[in-house]
Order: sequence, then structure tokens, then C-alpha cells
Amino acid sequence: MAETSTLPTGAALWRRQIAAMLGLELRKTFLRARALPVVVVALLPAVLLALRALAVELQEETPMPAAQVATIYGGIFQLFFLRFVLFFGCFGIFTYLVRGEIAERSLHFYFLAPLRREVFLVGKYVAGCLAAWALFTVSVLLQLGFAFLTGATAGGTAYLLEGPGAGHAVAYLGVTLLAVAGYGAVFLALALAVKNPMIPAAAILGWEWLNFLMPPALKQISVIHHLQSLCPVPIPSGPFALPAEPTPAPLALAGFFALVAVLLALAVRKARRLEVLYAGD
Amino acid sequence: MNRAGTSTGALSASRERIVLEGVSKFYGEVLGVNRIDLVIGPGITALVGPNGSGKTTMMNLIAGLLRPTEGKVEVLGLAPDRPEELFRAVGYCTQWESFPRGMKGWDFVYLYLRLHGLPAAEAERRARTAIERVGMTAAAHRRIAGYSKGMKQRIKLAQAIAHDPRVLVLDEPLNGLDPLARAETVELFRGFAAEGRFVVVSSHVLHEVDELADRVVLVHGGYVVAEGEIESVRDEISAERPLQVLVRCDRPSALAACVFSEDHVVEARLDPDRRGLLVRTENAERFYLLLNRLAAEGTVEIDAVLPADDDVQSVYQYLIGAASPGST
Repeated sequence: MAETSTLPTGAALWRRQIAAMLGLELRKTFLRARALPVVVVALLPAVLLALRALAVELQEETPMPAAQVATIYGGIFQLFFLRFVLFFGCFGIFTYLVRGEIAERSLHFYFLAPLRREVFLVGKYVAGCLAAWALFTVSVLLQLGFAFLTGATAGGTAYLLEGPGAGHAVAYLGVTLLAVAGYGAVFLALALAVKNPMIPAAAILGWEWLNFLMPPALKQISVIHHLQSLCPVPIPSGPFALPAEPTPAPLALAGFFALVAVLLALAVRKARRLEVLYAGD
Repeated sequence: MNRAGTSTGALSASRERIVLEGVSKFYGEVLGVNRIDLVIGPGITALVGPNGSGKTTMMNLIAGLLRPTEGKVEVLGLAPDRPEELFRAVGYCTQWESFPRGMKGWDFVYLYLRLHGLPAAEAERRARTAIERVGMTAAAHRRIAGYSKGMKQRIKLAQAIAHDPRVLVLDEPLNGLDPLARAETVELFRGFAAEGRFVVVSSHVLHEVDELADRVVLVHGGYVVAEGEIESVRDEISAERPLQVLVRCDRPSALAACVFSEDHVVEARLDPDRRGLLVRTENAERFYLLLNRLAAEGTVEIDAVLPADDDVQSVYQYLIGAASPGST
């Protein structure tokens, strides 16, 4: 039997098991054709900003002041990157972690190992987060580079490297990491709860987009609500928004982590009852 | 029908048994297995039944891949819904031909051992040993997608035995193996059984089971219809279904005349080569007594008495094939 003197117990065993999972999962996430659409979506804002910079240079337009670009980029980040790019990127990565195994009839590889379902789920979640963090932080760095470090932005280099832009960049990266953790938890739980997560994901997208219309209590049940409080450049919510005090950063973080914890707890509960039932069996 | 060896009240002793107690599994409205009471001891136990009879469902329930709708499963006293304990003791070679995409044979076994928490060096050593035992060393570093069916079967087997489990659950393990690999694999199972371990094997190829198993569990339509040693199962059902015996003798016609007068004989038919008589009897004991008497009197000279249906195939047909064409 595998119980030997070299076998750790408790948390040390779980760490070793998760490490074993990560190698396989990261390979599966990146080194496959299926990952390509997610990579394309992740890099889309950077590509658009690069095209904008190229167009300004080719048409010899007047460069836009850095402060104005910062405001526009704040909108791009919150309205396009967070609510669309990162949302769908995380959907692709995190729903595939479990649903992909079921579709490819390989879930039993993990379920035949002496792996607590909680450890299995955490391993999957961490693997998904690492893959998505790598992808989306690279995307944000490229976006910032194309937005501020090209000739299309006047004073962009000084703004980003010496001015307030440096702090904003750190904040954007931090929000990206948190967004991955948040949407990752949402989609992992969703993939465990339903067979086809597409329609519920569309409903969640609507919920996230319409968050600004909701009363304060309902706003708490949203990833975007907590994240936009942490974004460095606020964007207008529009005339129909229900007025609410901006959440202080510590409260936003606490609320965010509480939401992630609840979602992961639900996912664990589902994972513990998950059966290996493949289509066609 | 009574079930030999069944003991539903044996849960207290279940630390050395695999126990299914009142187990049912429904897939929505569809029956998987129903009201299974089964106690499996060490040695080789074969689950026999046609495709769709519930064998795989039973194995998946034992391995915790499925949860019973009703009832309770215990493997050596362990609950299958605690995989962290169960799979230290259990190795399961499933029927699924699918593997994590892009994986090589070596990775399939090695990573499985790493998931056990074994350090790299020990996982490597065990993976090498297991792969060697199934004769896959040369192909271990090739992608599984390029393997033949038999090779896939063998690498799954290597994974199942790699952690040296006490319980080996094998779903149609001889599928796709060539005769040599088949013989080696059967020897491997026998070796496991000889060490006092549990080998639970399923098959719908019945002659395999005859060669392999100590005990059989006949499954049909989600029910266990009989279990025990093949001979005892046959005895159990003899009261309900006639026993078929081939008597090789010098005067089969004379023997036929004698046995026809016996009320327990339902059929006697001359063998096509006219050197034997095929007899169906409802009372094996009385028939053998009759044969002894006729031999002692010199009515016939008996060369051999061969149970013509004492294999699993025949028992299986008796039990579940009554309505099917060609059933006895």
C-alpha cells in the first residue's frame, strides 16, 4: 500500500497533492488548441490599444494628454476588460476545469486517487487562478504599455513611471488578480452546479452589467461591485444608477473575500457529491 | 433464490470484506442496480452478466464514483465517499478508454502516484515497477492516444496496481488483450488473490470467468440473481432447472431405455457420435445413484460422466436466458 514512512499527512499531504495537480492542469490549460480563444480574448484590449497607438502615429494626430487617456483607460478597464474580457476569459478557463473533464471523460483520473474532494477542488481553483493570472496580468501590462508608453499619449511615460500612473497600474493589476479569483469562484461553482453553464453565465453577465441599478443590499452579491470600489479611476454610473456611498477599500475587500469563500464552499459541497457519470454510458 | 455466502448482518466484520447492503442505484428513472446484498471476501470474485446488467454500476458504487440511491457500501470498513482513505486500499481499472488529453503512459501512472502524495523518487520507482509488471516499459513514454486497445488496458492496469492496493476492482480487464498478455494478466490476478487480497473482476465473456474466478456473482437487469462458487450455484438452481449430464458409455441406447423410466429424467438424447447420452435430470443425486447401479449390474460400461453445463455460461443461461432463443 502507498502508506509509507515518506508519506506526509494533513496539510503537507494536501500541498503535495495540489502541487501534483498543478503541473498537469497548467499544461492542460495552456498547451492546447482550446486555450487559443481565451488567449485571443484576453489580449483583445491590448491589441485594440496598440492599433489606436499605431493609427495616431501613422495619421500624425496630436497625442492625447496622459490625464485624459487615464480617464478613458479607466472606462476601458472597467467596462470592457473587467465586464467582458476577463468575465468570458474566466468563464472559458474555470468552467472547463470540471466540465471539460466530464466532456472528455477523464474526471475519473482524479476521482480514483486518494484525494479529498476539497483538495481536488482547491487544486483546480488554484490551477485556474494561476493560468488566468498569468494571462490577464500580461494583458493589463500590455494595455498600459500601449496606452501610455507610445507616441499616442503625451506625457504618458512620465505619468505611468513617475506620476500617479504607477499607483494606478498597481491597482489595476491588483483588481485583475482579484477579479480572476472572484469570477473563478463564480464559474467553478457554476460548472459544478449545472451541466450547461452557458445560460446561467449569461444571466450572471446581465446581473454584473446591471449592478449599478440595484439597491445597495443586492449590489453586495456581485463581483464587479466590490472590484469597482478598488479601481483607481472612477467611471460615471449613468443617470439611472441608484445612489450609493462608495464602499471603502477594506470593506470592499472583506465583502469580496466573503463572497469568494461562500462560492467556494458551495463548490466544495457540490464536488463532494459529484458522481462520475459520462454521457453515453 | 437463496444466495450462498450472503450475509447482510455481517457489517460488524466488514473490515475484511466488501459489503453492499440493500444497495440500489437509479439514474433518474432508469434502474442501475436494485436491492443488492452482497458480501465479497478475499480471492477472485467475478461479476458476470451481459452488457447493461449492472456490473459497472456495482463496481462504480464500490469505488465511490457513484453514490447509492439507497443502501450502504463498505470496502474493508471504509466508506466509498471518503476517497482519501478508500484509494489507499483500492485500485480500480475502469472500463473507460479515455485519458487526460496528451498524456503519456508513464505520466498516467507516475502522476497518479504523485496524487497519492508520494515523493518523486518513490513514485518513479513504483511507476517503473507497475509498468514493468504489465509489460509496457517499451511504450511507456509514448502518448496514450497512440496506444492499441490492449496497451490502453495494460496501462490502466498498471495504474490500478501501482500503489499496491489490497482491493483490485477490474472492469472487463481482459478486453483487448492478446492471448499472451491475457495469460500473464490472469496470473497477475491469481498472484494478488494468493496473497489474500481482494480481486473483483467483471466480465461478460463467460469462459474467462470459469478459468479465473473463485466465486461468481451473476448479475442481470440490475439484480444479483445468484452468487457463490460455480458448482454451488449450480446446485442451488438444480431444483428449478434440470441438470444436463453427458454420459460416455458403450451402450448409450440401453442407458436411454433405463433412464426414461425414471420420473426425474426430463430428457435423454443420443450424442451425435452415438457413444454417449445427454441426460437432463431434475435430481442429480438420484441420477448418479441410478448410473452407479447400472454400472454395477453391467448394463452399461461407463467411460465418463461429464457435467455438460457446469460452467458459468450454462448456469447463466439457466438463470436468465430462459426466454431467449437457444436457452436450455
